[in-house]
Amino acid sequence: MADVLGKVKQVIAEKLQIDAEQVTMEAAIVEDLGADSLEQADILFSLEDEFGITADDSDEAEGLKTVADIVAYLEKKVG
Amino acid sequence: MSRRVVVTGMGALTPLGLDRVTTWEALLEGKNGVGAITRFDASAFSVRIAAELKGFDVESFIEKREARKMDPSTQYGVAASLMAWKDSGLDEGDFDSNRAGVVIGSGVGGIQTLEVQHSVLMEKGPRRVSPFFIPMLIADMSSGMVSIMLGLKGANFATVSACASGAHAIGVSFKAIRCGDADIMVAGGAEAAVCPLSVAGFAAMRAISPRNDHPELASRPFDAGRDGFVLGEGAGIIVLEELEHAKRRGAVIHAEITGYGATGDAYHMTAPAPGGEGAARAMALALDDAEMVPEDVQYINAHGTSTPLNDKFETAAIKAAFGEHAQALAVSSTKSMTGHLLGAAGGVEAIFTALSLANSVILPTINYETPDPDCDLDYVPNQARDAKILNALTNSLGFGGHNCSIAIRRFEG
Repeated sequence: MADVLGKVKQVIAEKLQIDAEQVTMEAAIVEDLGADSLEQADILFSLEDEFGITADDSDEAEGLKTVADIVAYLEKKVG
Repeated sequence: MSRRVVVTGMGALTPLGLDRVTTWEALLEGKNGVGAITRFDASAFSVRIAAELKGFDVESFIEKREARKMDPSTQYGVAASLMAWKDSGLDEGDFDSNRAGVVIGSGVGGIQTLEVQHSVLMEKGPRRVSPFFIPMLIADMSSGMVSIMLGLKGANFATVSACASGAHAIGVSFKAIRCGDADIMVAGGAEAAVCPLSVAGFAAMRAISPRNDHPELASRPFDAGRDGFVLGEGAGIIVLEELEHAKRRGAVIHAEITGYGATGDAYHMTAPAPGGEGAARAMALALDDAEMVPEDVQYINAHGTSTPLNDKFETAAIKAAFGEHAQALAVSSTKSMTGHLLGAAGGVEAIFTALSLANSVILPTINYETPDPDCDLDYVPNQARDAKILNALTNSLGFGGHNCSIAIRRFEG
C-alpha cells in the first residue's frame, strides 16, 4: 500500500510539476490537482509502465477520479 | 490610402546566440555557428556537423510543466515569440485581440517527437505512445501556443513550404494587415530538425555538406567549393503592426514591410527551375507589390544555401529580375554564419534584413574564397560593410518549388 501510494505520488507530482505533498489520497486529479484530459491519460500510461500492467478495462480506468481511486485500482491489478 | 505595415518587435533564437542582440553582434563579426553534432551520437553518419542552438534553457521562457508537452520546435517558436512580443512593448489594452493573429511556419514540425514516439511504438507497443504525441508533432502548434500565451484571437495557422515556411508566414501576415483583416500579426518560423532521422535524410539527398573535418568552413554560399548546406535550428519571429496603430501607442518601429511575392516553379521536387525563373518571378512580384523598380533596391539577403544548385540558380534569378542593376546590388547569405534554419530561415533573415536597414550595415557572406563563374554578383565577401540602404529583399526558396521574396524598407516616417 505505502509503496503503491509512494509511486503514484511520485508520478503525478512529476507529470503535473507539483509538490508530492499536494498529492493526498482525497485529491481529485482534475478538480484538485488541475490535470487536463491529456495529462490524465499521460499519468495513467506512466503508471501502467511503472507497475507493468495494462489498463485495458478502460471503463474502470477512465472512472478513476481521486488518488485513492487510482491506488485501489492499481492494488487490485497488481494483486 | 492603403494601410502600411511595420515591424515593431523582433525575437531570434539562432546558432549564433539565444537572443537578437547576441546574434546580431556575432553576425557583424562574421562569426560562425557550425560545429560537430553534440545532440546525438553521429559517429555512424556521413555528415556529423550542424549549426546547433547552444545552451537554450526552455524554463527561462516556459514553465516546465508546459514545456515538456512541447516539441523543441514549438519551444523555440514560443521563446522567440515571447522575446518579439516583449520587444514590441504591446500590452493588454493596447489592441483588439480579435484583430491580432499568429502565423508561425515550420518545415517539418515535431520531427524529434516523431522519432522518439516511433521508437516507443516499436519497443513498447501502441499503448505506450504518449497522449501528447500528436499535439507535439503537428507543425501548427507554435502558432497555437503563442495565441494561448498572449491571448491573440485573430487568424491562427501555420505555413508549410519547406525552407520558405517562415517567409510565407511573414508574407501572408503582411497581406492580412495591409488589406484590413488584422492590426497585429506575430509571424515567422521555428525549426528543430537536428536529429538522427533528418540528418540521415538530408545526407541521403546529398543536400548537406559532408565537410566534417572543417565544420567552420562548411557553409560557403556562392563559393566555388560549396558542397551543400549545413543544418541549423532555431526561430525568428517578428511582430507586424499597422503603421497608424503603432504610431498611436508610440511604438519603436524597426522597419517597414512593403512587398511580398510568392510563386511556384511547377518544375521539380527539389531542383530549382532552369534559370531560377520561379525565384525571379517572386522577386519581380515583390518589387511590383512594393511599387518599386529594380533600381530602388540596394541589398538582397539571399536564400544562399551553399548547395551547388541553389546558389547558381538564385544568382541567375537575381539577374533575370534586376537586369543590369544586379551588378550594383549587394547580395549576401547570412546562412554562411547561421547555417540553414529551414522553416525558420525566413524568420531570422527578415530580422537580419530589418536590422541591416536600421543600422546601415550589410552583413557578409563568410567563407567566400574562390569565385564561381556561375555566381558573379557582389556577395559582400567575409566582412560586414557600412552602407546606407533604403530598400532590401529577403529571399526564401523551398523544396517543392516554393519561392518567396519579401521587400523591406528602412523606416523613415
